[in-house]
Amino acid sequence: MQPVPVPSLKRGDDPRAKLAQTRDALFTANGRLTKSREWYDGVRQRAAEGKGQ
Amino acid sequence: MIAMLARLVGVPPIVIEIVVLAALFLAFAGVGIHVYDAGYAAADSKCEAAALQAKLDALQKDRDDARAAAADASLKLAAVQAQTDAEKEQTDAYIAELEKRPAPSNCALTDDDLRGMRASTGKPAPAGKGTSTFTRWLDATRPGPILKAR
Repeated sequence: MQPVPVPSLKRGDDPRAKLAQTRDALFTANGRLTKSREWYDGVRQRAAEGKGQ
Repeated sequence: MIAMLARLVGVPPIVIEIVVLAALFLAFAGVGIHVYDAGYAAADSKCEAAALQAKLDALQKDRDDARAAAADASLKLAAVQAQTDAEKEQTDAYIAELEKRPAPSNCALTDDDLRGMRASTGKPAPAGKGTSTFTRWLDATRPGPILKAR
């Protein structure tokens, strides 16, 4: 769940390259969110199994 | 025998009978209470043992769950990292390709662009002026900053 660094911007940068880097950062952030949610669902499921016994 | 004892002591036989019955009752009551206490203690110990066992089982399950969660987290982290690495590799290749065919100079980010971007993050805008196709496109397509300040 670590934050994903925002790509830095400076004068003269190529917007296409920055768009690609920003897309990468977004992809990574979404991947972390998705996997974190899956992990938490697993934790909840294991806890629920324990309470049912 | 009770009659002889009564005559010997000089009291009516009924008194001796009452005394004997009372003694027997007390003896039975004492034994009964003792047996009850022993049974109660045994049941209490068994209940306490069951409670402790349940507590131990719960702790062991918590420990197992924590280990499973840690292992799961490692797997998921590795999966995300692999996807990220693959994406980054493609992006690096794309950026290297872009460097071979640079964009027109009026497409590069200018101070105005940076000012617009940083306004959305609350950071101070850089000094200076500049215009680019990107800036003009932004100005034409939106009335305010790209993202509202949070």
